[in-house]
Amino acid sequence: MNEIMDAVVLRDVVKTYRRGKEKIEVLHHLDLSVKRGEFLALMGPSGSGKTTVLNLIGGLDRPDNGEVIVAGEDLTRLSGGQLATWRSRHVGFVFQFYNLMPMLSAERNVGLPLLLTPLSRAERDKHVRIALDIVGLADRARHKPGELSGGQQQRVAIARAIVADPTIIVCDEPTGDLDRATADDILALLKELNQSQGKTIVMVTHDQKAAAYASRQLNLDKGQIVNEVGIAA
Amino acid sequence: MKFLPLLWAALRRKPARTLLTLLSITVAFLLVGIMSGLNARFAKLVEDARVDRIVVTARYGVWFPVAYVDQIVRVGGVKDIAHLAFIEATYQEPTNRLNIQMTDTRLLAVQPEMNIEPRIFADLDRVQDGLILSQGLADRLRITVGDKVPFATDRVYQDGSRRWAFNVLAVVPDNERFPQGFSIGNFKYLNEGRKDGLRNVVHRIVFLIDNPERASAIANSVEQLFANSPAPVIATPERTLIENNLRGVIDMQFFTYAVSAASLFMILFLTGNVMAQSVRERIPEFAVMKTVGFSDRGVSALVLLETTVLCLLGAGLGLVLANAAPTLTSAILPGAPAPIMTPGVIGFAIGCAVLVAIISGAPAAWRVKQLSIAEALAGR
Repeated sequence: MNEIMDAVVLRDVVKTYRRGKEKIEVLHHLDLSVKRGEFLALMGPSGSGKTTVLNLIGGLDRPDNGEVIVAGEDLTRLSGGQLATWRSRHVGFVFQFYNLMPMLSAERNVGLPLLLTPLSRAERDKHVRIALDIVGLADRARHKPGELSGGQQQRVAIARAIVADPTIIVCDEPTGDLDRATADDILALLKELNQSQGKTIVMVTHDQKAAAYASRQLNLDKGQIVNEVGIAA
Repeated sequence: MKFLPLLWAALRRKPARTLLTLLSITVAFLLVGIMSGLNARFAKLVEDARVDRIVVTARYGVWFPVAYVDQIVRVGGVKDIAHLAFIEATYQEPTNRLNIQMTDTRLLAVQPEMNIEPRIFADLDRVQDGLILSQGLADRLRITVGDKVPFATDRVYQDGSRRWAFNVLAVVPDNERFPQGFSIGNFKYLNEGRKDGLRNVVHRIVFLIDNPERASAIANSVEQLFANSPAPVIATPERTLIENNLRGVIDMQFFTYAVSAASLFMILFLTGNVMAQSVRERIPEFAVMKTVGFSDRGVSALVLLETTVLCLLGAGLGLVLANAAPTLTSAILPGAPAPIMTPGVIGFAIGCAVLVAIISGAPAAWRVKQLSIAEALAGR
């Protein structure tokens, strides 16, 4: 594998969860790489380890064994504080249920990751405006999540994910809570970000139609990659 | 400052709960403010009391001969001396009470801090039924200079009634040593006007000495002077007298600290519980904050900041109310001096607020710090 070209490298990764007294090995010596600028869809049945892979790539969780190298950084070597800083610089997250702060307006939600940067208020506002413009919600900047539709909320979440110009965007079932038409809009937006801005995207989905927007598709089952499908962009 | 919107959003999340918590903290700090303010007042009373001023009172009963003045003044080290007798009076309503100090011009030298012009005392010496009132007391009783005011008193006047009429000669500025106000009359008026068989007796003799270090020795000499007389006396340096009075019935400092501690203890649990509940409701939000890059310490600090802002706001409001509600003080401790908001009291309250915030917010902050993002996002 050419690590310089790879945005993500998972090597011999083992991850075990404890449920009560029972130990469950979710990932079994998994190897995986995602190239820079790639749009990867991770598919598989529930419990196959998709979200665990996503959490490891996003630096939200740590493996029990193996290496997780994202954007050139071995995440297993970073402390908790270093990992938090790394996340703020390199990863944007999009969740199934949007996970917006209900008391904050759209622009404040989008600007949340920028609070950790040394940017001035004016610079932060500029970045937020650009991000909201990209997702087509510039006119909803002052609306709170409760005043937006599901699709609009997910667009705000995408704007939040891209506002700090991350290296990689990880999406966990980003269209799982949306109707087909809205889901298509969101997926088209992600594809647009991938193609026009070169963002590396790793997306977990159950939806075959959603996976079709990706440039590559990996199927996981019982913590291992079972097959790979390349899709023409 | 850039995190202020997050803080504000957290406090607005459940406005009713925030308001009720704020109200509880405000009430607790109102008590803390009043109690600490009272402590400060007592400390100031002691601090202002002079060591070189000795107060003589009857050892048995309340009256003793005014003639003692002439003997005390001959004791070595005694400088200025004055005598006082008191008339407990009410004006129009039983609640309009005043305690008139019946004395003469010599009081001016013994209590110079009253800061009354000698001219006014000279007028009082000339007008036997004259009366000097402090501004606050005059305002409260709605009495002005030139008024002829009848007081119902505890002394029998020569006409057999207990009604004494006074001629208001002057209204003088208030003095912080007398928060309830003061009134001064002419001793001759009481002495010659009373018809209760008591003449030439006083409640108190007060004198200044030339050397504060000899206060106890001089006080002992005065006591010895009259030890075998029919009316022995107690002579005590003023500061000791006030300290003894404050400790007399109850240890005021312990009492005030105990009340403060009880109220702070109460809000400690209340705020801790509110914060724990608030954080529990916002677990997904904290998980998202950590996801986008907030550190464990960062989110913990935000929770502590939230508690601190709430506690400081409540403490501030409580202190403002404590400062603006002297009537409440008299309702809690009737007759007690009004609390004062010194920098020490404000500092103490702020310190308590920060301490309560840190202790009550710590469990919630710890929970947020320990929060596993992956588990929180998965709803586990």
